[in-house]
Amino acid sequence: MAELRVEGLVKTFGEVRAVDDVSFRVADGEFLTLLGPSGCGKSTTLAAIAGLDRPDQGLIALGGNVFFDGTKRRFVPPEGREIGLVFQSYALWPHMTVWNNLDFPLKLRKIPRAERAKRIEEVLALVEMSEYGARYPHALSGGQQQRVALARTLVYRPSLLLLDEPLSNLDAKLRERARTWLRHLQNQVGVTTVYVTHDQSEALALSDRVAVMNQGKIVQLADPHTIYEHPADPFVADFIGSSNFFRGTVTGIANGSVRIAIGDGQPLVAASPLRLRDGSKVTVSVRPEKIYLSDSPQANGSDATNVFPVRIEERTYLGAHHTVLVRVGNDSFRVDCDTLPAGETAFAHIPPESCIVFQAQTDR
Amino acid sequence: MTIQSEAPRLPAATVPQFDRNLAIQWGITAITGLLVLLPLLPVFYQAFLDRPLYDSDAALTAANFGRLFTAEFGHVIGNTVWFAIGTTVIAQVVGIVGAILVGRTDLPFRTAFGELLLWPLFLSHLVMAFGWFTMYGPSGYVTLVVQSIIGVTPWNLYTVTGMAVVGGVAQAPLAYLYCIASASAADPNLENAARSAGASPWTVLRTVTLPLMRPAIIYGTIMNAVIAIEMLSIPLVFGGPVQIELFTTYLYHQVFMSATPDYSLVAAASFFLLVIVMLLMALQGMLMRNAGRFVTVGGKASRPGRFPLGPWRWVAFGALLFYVIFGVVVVVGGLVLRSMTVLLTPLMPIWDLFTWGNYQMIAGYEVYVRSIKNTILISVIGGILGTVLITFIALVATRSEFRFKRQLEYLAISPRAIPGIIAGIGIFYAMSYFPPLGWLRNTIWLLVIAYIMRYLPTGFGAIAPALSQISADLDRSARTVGADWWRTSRSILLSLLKPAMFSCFALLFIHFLKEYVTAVFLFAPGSEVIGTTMLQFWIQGDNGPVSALATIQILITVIFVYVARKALGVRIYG
Ligand SMILES: Nc1ncnc2c1ncn2[C@@H]1O[C@H](COP(=O)(O)OP(=O)(O)OP(=O)(O)O)[C@@H](O)[C@H]1O
Ligand SMILES: [Mg+2]
Repeated sequence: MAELRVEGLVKTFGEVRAVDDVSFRVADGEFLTLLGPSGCGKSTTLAAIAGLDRPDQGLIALGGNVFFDGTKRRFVPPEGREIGLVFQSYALWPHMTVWNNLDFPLKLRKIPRAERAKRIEEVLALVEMSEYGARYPHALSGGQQQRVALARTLVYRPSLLLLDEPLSNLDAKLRERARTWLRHLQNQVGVTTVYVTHDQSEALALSDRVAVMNQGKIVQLADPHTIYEHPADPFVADFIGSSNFFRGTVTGIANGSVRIAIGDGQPLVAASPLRLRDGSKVTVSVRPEKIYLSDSPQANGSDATNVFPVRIEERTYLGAHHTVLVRVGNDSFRVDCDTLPAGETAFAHIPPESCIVFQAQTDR
Repeated sequence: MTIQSEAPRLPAATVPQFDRNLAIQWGITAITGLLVLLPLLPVFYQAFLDRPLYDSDAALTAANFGRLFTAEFGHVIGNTVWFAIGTTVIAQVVGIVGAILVGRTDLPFRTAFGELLLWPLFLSHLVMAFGWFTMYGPSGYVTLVVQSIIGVTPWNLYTVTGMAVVGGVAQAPLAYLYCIASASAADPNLENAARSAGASPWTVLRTVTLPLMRPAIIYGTIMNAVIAIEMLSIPLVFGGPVQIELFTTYLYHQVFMSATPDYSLVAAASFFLLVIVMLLMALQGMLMRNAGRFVTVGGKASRPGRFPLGPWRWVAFGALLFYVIFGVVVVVGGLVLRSMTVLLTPLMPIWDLFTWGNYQMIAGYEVYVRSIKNTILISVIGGILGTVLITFIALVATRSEFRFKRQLEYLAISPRAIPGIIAGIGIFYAMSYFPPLGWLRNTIWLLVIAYIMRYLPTGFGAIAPALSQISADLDRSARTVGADWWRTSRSILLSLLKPAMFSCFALLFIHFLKEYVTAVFLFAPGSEVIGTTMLQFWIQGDNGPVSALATIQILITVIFVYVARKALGVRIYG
């Protein structure tokens, strides 16, 4: 078992910098997720680690084995890396039975027949597919194929497991079950894992740590809680969960909280550890579920800070809760609430500690 | 959980010292390069030498071209251009009309017509030429019948235009083949949309259907022009007796009819032809790039809606029936009849002329039997070797990290621009220059090599699209589980490619069976093939055995195509 090191990885396709100076480490046995919108370079990063694409620069090493070193022009081909990669398409070989799919990597390693059979049975049991050894891939459901694909990579006991959106072809219900099952399995096996997805809830539920990527760069690498509660920039705040954004200017600073003039000059108080100056341009993000709506300005026993009279513009019923679009002055924002306010107007309470302040890009 | 116990591993994280994958990839590239350059280099070299290239006193010169471009040669070019244009226009018109009628309309018996229009594709031009000669030549059966009715001979095939008619009918199947694919894939909704907008069927045909077929039409037009330019059989059979020279017959006569063939002049002419064909191919590439926007994107498997022809159904049926009967059935049938008679003439009842003599004559001479055996051997062995080579070329060119894979692909499809006659001349020169190649001379291996080179692009066209249908993830996953490129190719890709390899073999087999142009300059005692033997008989005026050999060739083809399609389920031409 070993630690994965990726340093300064760059991969360009013509003009496009698909992966742009990416560095991260995955500790032995850790589960790291690369999360980001479509086209941000997740698959390209994974392919570089697996050796399927040759990067332009950087270093990739697993434990003491250097797989790629741009400065020394060292490149280990994929078959020399002992890595397991589960493809989004599963890539089961259609002309082989499940059993033979699993047998192929073992044959390559010249493992004796009896040992091969033992291992295949073991790993089929692990993924709960023992009865399906004689089937061909086309006679399996999507979920079953995904398990076989996983079994095929586990059967030769790779030192590193890479998964590229392995659940994206499953329906919503099955995806949730497979997620739990996968996490459980990874715990059991204890293999170092890099997981790629663009589904944020999958990333938060599965990972020890999440690396959020945007346009070929890692914008934040942290545990799921930090990513959600303390996003590093507005992109992360918006991509993970959802956020309302207010643009404004700092008008006053007092012991850990700042006063910001937003929209038509309305004051918004936010708790922030940032060192800000008067007149700094900032963006404030607030998650819809952190805002309260009530019929009076004094609900929930809170004081009078950040209470805005709002007009309700749109209501959407989402089953578990309602989402309401409200307007104050020129700004409109979303609020999640369990019960709808009665009238057309209401009061929105925004707790200062739920406000996350980012310095505007140009101000840095 | 103990699944991560120590286990036998691949030698981890190694950059291999000797890389067998690279060795194989380079090996395949080298073989392909040798194959393609073998005929080309000698032609290039000889074209600029003042003496035969084996002569150690030979010096570089450009004077050969001066000697080539004489008034006589200008005449040859004029004839060739006229023949090529006539052949192409006739072939394209028949092919396009046929494809539209079969693919887009409610023509009666269109499946049968589809087969009949395509079938001559399996037959060699030489066989077609003999068939036409037998039925429509100056003393052909049909000619004599018509003459006895109306008193005059209404046509003369011994003219450039006459040859163009024969060539056009012989090449129509190819035009049909390219067009039928796009005609039957066309989305009927496009046409329906135009019709519901008030366009008449004729307008729809002109403004929607034909433009959609444009890429196929452009492609087929240039293909047919190239084939017409490099065609030997029809000019030889119909132009030879009356001294009408076309490019290929000019080369043929230069080599075979003069006591000491002028190597330099022949090479200069070959070089010239090569340049023309390459220019046409480049033109095709350019036109096709611009034609891309007309390619219909395959819609969902919707059954193409058909134009109702109304009362014109039977007019179209009659016209097509007339064409198929007189262009295909009479020609092939006449040849078969001729092979079983002493003489084919409307003046005597046919049963009085019946004989097995022609076949007995063939069976009686070892050379003739050998040419049949050789043809089959070359088709089988060459087909197998060619399929294997082409498959690996395709694997390296499209499924490897080989640095020169693009170049390999270009190399593999470049013989499309090497006419068979040039391939023959070039390899012939190569042999006179490298004496070690001489031992190949009297064996079938020289022809196997030449044929494989000639048909690399044909086979590549059968394998490469099938390969691109196989998801790249399948080999990428094999690589990550520890198989190198060679192992992946063998265990994963080859197994999945089997159907395409059968198709490739079938195509090569059929082409090798009917090929003769390449062999004309290369065969020697011991390596005769059906085509070269037929030509020899024909020059001696033995039309009976020629017809018998042609019939045997047709029979082998029919049996092979039938078995391959029906019993083995191989796809040949769609
Ligand atoms: N072979 C290629 N040639 C050119 N551009 C490529 C190639 N592969 C990827 N790219 C580009 O690189 C960028 C990153 O692609 P990548 O496949 O890594 O995205 P991704 O994050 O995996 O997206 P998704 O979630 O949609 O799978 C994209 O802009 C893509 O268009
Ligand atoms: Mg991807």
